Amino acid sequence: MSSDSWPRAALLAMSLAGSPSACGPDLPSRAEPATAPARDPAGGGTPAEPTVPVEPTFAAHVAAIVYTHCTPCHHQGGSGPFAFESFDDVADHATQIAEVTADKSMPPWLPSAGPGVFVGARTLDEVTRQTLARWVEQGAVPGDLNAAPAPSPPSGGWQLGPPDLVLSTGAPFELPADGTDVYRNFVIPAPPPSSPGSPRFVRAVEIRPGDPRVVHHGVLRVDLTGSVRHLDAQDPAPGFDGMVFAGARMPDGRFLGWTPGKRPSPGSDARAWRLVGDSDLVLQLHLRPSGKVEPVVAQLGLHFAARPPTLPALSMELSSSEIDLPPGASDVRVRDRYTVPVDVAIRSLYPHAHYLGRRIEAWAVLPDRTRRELLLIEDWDFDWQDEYRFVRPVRLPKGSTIHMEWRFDNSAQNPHNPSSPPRHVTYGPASTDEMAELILEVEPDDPRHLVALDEDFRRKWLGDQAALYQRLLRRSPDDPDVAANLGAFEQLRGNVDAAVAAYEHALGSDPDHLQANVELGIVRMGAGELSRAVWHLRRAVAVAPNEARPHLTLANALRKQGQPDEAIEHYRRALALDDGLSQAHNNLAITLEARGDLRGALRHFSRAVEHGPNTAVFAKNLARVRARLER
Amino acid sequence: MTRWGLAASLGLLACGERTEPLGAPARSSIVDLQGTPHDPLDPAVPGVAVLLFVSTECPISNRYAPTLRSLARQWVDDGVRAWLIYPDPDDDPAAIRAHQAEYSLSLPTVRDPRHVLVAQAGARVTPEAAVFGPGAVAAAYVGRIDDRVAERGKVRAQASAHELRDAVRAVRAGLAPAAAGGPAIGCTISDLR
Repeated sequence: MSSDSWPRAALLAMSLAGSPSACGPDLPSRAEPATAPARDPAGGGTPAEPTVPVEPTFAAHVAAIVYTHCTPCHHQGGSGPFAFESFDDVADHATQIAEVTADKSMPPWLPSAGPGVFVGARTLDEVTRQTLARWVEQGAVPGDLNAAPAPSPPSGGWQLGPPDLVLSTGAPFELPADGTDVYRNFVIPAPPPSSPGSPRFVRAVEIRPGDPRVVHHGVLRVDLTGSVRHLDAQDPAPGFDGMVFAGARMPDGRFLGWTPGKRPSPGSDARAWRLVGDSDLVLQLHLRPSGKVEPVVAQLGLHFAARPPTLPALSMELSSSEIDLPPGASDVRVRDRYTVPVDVAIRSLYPHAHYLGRRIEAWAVLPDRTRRELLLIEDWDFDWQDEYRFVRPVRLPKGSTIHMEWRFDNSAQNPHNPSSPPRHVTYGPASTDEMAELILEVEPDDPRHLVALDEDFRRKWLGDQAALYQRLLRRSPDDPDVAANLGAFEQLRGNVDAAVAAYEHALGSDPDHLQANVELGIVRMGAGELSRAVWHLRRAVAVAPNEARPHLTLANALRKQGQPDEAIEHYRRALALDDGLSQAHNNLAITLEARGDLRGALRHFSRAVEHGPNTAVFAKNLARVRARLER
Repeated sequence: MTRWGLAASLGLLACGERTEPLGAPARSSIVDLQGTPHDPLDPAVPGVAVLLFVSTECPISNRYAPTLRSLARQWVDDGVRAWLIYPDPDDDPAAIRAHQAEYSLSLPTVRDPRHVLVAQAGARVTPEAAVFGPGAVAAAYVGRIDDRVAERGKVRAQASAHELRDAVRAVRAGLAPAAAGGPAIGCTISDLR
C-alpha cells in the first residue's frame, strides 16, 4: 500500500496512551484544514478560513481524519494499540481520542511549528482538534456510515518492493518483561559482493523492526573498524547494550533510521552510499518492555543503486561536553557552533539529549547577519527523538554559522528525571549521564568541496575532543586512561609535543599503561627516535603479550631499526594472535622480500590483499613480488 | 493518617445488602470468565479487597503486569483479595484468557461490561486500582498504582511513590490511606454506548 492512497481531505494524527506509535504518512508539517476550505461567498475566489463543522459526524468528517493519520499505526498488527478500522473501533475510544488530541500528547511530534517544514510531520491544526472534540461532545454521531470512507489496507510486505538484499539480526533477542527501556545494538555483517572488487551502492534501506509494539525507534549505522564485532562477541545475547555506536558512523554521511509510522524513503542513485565488504551494519533499537518477554528480530531490506552516487554528503555533529548539572538545577544551557567553509545544504537534523534535556534550539546566522531558524523543541522528550528531514533543504552560504543551544532540567519537577532525588549529572554516554548533540546531514553545493568540508569539520571536532579530555584530566589528573585519550586526540590534531606530554602524563600515573606505551612508541618512531620507541613498545609487549597490536608495532620499529630477525619474530607472533591483521602480513612480506624470501613475501602479500582488499598498496606490493618471481 | 470510617463500614457489614440507584445496571452483570455472576465486593466475604482495572489492549496496563504480579504475591500472604477487573465490553472471556496467559496474570478475574464496579470505584482509566475496606461500599483509595507513568507517554525509569501498596497497608491497619500524588495515567475507560 502506498501512503499516497490515504485520503488527505483532513489532518489528524493520534494514538493513545504513551504507546510507541507515531502515526501518519509522511506529509509536510503544514497542517491542512479539517474541512475543505469553502469559497468566499462574495465570489472573490479566496478560500474562506476552515471552520469546525457544527454537527460533525464520523462518516462526513472524522473517518477521513482518523483513517489518514491514525490508522497507519493503529491497525491490527501495527505499532499503536487499538485498531481504528471502523466506526465502532473509533467510537469505543472516542473520549480518549478527544483527550489526547486536545492535550497535544498525540500525535507525538516534538518540533514547534515555524522554524522548519519537515517530511512526515505529525501536526494538527486547532480546527481539526476541535472537530474531534465537538464530535465526541455531541455523542460520537456516526452519520451515514454507508458513505464513510474505508481505511486502506495496511501494507503487509516490503513497502519499497522486494529488496535486492535482505539481512536479519539473526537469533531473537529476548526483551525482558519489565524494567527500564533497553537500547540494543544488533551487529549484522555485510556479506561480500557477489563479484569480488565490484562496489555496491545502497540507494535505500527499509527497516522492518519486528514487533513494532515494543520497538520505539531504530537507527542504522555502519562500522568499518571491527569494534562493534568485538562488543557483540563480549555479550552472550544477540547484540550489545548501550546508547553509543562504538565507532559506527552514518554511511557516507547519510542518516538511516526507523520511526513508527514513517514511510521509508525510496532514496536515489545520486545519494546512495557505499556498502563496504567486511563492514558491519549496526542497528540500534530502542526497546520498551511490554509486560511480557518479547523476542526481537529485525530485518533490513537493501536496495542497490545502478550507478555510483554523484551527490556526496557529510554527517556533522555539533555537540557540547560541557554539561554539569547540579541536583535541582532547572535551567542549565550548553552551546556549540560551527562556521561552514563552503556553500552547503542541510538536508536533515537529528537532535539528541537524554532524560534531562528540556528545550533544544538550532539556528544559523548567515554572513549578512540574518538569522535562519532550523529547529525548536520546547518540550524535549527523549522517547520521541527522531530525525527531522527538511522538505526543502536549508541552503547556507559559505561563512554561515550553525548554532545549537540545549537547556537541561535536573530538578525533581522534571518528570523524566531518572534519579529521585536528583543527583549530580555530567556529560557521558549512559542514560543516566547527559549529552547534547545535533547531527546534521549536509551536502556541499559543489561535490568537489566535500573533502575541504570534511577536513575543516574534523579539525573542529578534534579540537572539541581535546578540550573535553583536558577538562576531564583537570578533574581526574591521576586517571591514565583520560591522559592517554587526550594524547590520542592531540596526536590526531598533529600536536606532537602535546601528545607526548599527555602520554608521559599517563605513564606517570601508570608506567605499564598499554595504550600510552604503544602510542608513545609510535610517536617516537615517527620522530625517528627509534631506541626510545623500541623501549616503550617492548614494555607494551611485556604488559600485553597476548595482544597482537603491540607485537605489530614493535616489529615495525625493529624493522626500521635494522633488526629484521626480531621484527619477523614479532610479526609472526602478531599474526598468530590475529591472522586478520592485513598490515602485519604486508609488513612481514616487505621484510621477507628485503631478505630475498620472495615466496614467503608472496604468501603474506596475498594474505594482506585477502584481508584488506580495499588497500591499494597491498595489491601493488603483491603485483611487484609476483613480477619478480616470474622473472 | 487518621482512622477511617470504621463505624460506618461495620454498619454496612451488619446490613449486608446494598441499595442501587434506580436504573443502574444490576450487580449480576459482573461475571467471571465462565459467565457466572460474581461480586468481588460481596460483603459476606471478609478482608480487604483490591480491584485492579485492566484491559487486554492498553499498553500501559500491560506494562504493569510484572508489578501487579509482585503486589499480588505479597497480598496473598496478607490475606488481601485482589481482583482483575476488565471493564471493556469487547474484552470477551477468550481474549481475557489469552491475555492472562500472555502476561502471566493468574488473579481472580471478573468482567464488568456494564461498569458497575467502574462507577462504584470511580475508576477512569486502565490501569487503575481501588481499595475497599472489609465490607465497604465506598473505596478507601482509588487511583494510580504508583508514579512510574508521570504523564501520558512519559514513563519514569522507576517509581518513587508506591501509592497502591501503601494504601493497602493503611487500610489493613484501619487507617485512611493517603491520596495519590497525581492522577492515574492510562487508557480511558470509554463511556458505554
